[in-house]
Amino acid sequence: MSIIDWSVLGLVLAMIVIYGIIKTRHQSGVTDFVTGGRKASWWTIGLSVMATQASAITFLSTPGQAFHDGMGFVQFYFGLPIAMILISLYFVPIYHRLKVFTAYAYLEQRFDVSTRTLTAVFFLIQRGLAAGITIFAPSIILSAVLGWDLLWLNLMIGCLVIVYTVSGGTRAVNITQKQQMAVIFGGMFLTFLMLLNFLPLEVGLDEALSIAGTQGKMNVLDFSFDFENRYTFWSGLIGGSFLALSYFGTDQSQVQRYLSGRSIRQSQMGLIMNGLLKVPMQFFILLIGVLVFVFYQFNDAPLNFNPTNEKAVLNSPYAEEYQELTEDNALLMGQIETLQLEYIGLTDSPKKIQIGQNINSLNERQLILRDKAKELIKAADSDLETNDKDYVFIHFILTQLPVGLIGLLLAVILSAAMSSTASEINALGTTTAVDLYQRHRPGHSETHYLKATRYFTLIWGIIAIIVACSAPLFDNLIQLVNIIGSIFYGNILGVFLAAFFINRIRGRSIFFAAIINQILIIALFVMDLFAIIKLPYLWLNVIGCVLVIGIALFLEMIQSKRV
Amino acid sequence: MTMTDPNLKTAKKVANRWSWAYIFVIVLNGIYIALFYWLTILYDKS
Repeated sequence: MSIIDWSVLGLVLAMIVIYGIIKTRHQSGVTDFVTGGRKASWWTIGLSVMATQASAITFLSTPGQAFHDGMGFVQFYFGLPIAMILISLYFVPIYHRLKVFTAYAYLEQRFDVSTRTLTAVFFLIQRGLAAGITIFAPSIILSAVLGWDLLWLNLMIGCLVIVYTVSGGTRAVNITQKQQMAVIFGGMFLTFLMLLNFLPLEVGLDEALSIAGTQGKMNVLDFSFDFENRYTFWSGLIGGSFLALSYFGTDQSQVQRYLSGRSIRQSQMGLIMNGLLKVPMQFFILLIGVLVFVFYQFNDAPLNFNPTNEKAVLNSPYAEEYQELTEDNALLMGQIETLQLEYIGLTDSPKKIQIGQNINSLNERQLILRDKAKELIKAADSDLETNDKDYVFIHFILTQLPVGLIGLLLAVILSAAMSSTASEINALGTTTAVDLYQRHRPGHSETHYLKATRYFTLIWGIIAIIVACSAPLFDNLIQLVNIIGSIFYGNILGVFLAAFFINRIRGRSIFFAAIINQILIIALFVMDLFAIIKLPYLWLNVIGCVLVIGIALFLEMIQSKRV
Repeated sequence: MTMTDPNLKTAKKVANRWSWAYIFVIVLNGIYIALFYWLTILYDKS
């Protein structure tokens, strides 16, 4: 990386962090620290909510997803606007009117303190692990492609976030997220323009989409009811609503963003902004991935985009075989490029159709070569992850973008990592301080609780770094975190839905229902683990939610019969 | 709404004051989906 890139990267990150610290250095109390003094405008909330959800992996993985599988992933977000409306209608007014600091505090007022504590602890376990992964995921990718030390990257991201989150609390998170989103949008838009510029002269956006379409990358909507297909219109609309409702409505890392709004209306408008912009934003990121695919129809691409994999196989007994595959790949790519140029020059005709079919078969042959390369990588080292989806976009950035823009794009990725991590440790510190410490040790001064909240934020930041550093010790930690999330998420959402919509469920019933349900969900997961039943872990969300409400209603029924 | 009465009716009243925004969200997302449908028809040749 050149000195200019280093300067751009360092300057952008330093400016965001210093600006965040200076603008928010005076905190008068816990309210100020936790809710940012409830002064945020709708667009600050909207950007903050979007920045919290969009982690570094969004910008690394999503273009790679489009590169391999096309635009269909955008359907995953179709349920989000519905969730935004429901949360604006029901969750926001209640949270605001009760002037709660955390989502779980509401549960005490609706049920009892035990339910509040229980759900807060569930959140801490799940989000504490996730915060570590938010740091680890981009670190592992950047360390592989840039050769940077993984430990130092984890420490750098973690420490930068800790500095301004501990110092300025929610307002610092909100303020820095505005700058980070500006960097992210600016960087992505410039990349989009550069990509169009890199394509051959005769290939504009229309021709690029046409090329992508012949390779199955423009199948945006799938209305089938195929359960084998992960992303369909229906799974996005129904499953996506469910997931977004639990994430934005009950996860403190998101709730805290809209609790900082200066009024109910401002918070609602912030969420509405997210509901309006999320789908086009994801579409745009996927479109960049599709354009990267088209770019590699005219330029050489490696067999596997992860340099660690290539290095491993080239230092193994399979190096010669891999070299042969690489040569075959180079030949194929040359043929694809020639045919693509011929294809663009033709108007609709039988010849054009014929050439399109030829390009298809060449691309299929290239896929076979890529699969063979993966087999060789696995044979060289069975521990390596052969799926290179997360490395496609970063490979393009580092090998194709001009000096200066590489630094800016790395700033985009690190900004995204920092914005999500900041919200997470801010929420973890707040929940520990407000729902556990302050609730169970009342009677201290405001200054004492402010100090405690800062300490808890710092501790959670350190825990996140430790989780990030120990992540390589586990085989598939990201999946583990998703599984742990699914084990708790459904249960928590069920408790909140019961609180909002089922008046006859009371504190005692929901508390015991949540405990029984949690044991049952863990049992179901263990049964799946030992192949006694077959239950993909994402279904634990739905089952957990329905089951906790069912058990609570059953317990209420028994109690009312006794009376 | 009081501290001990986190009920839904009051919450609904507050929200309903500007329900046009929700309709706008649904309509605009509907337009996005229609555009995606059009893109699929126009470009998807798989």
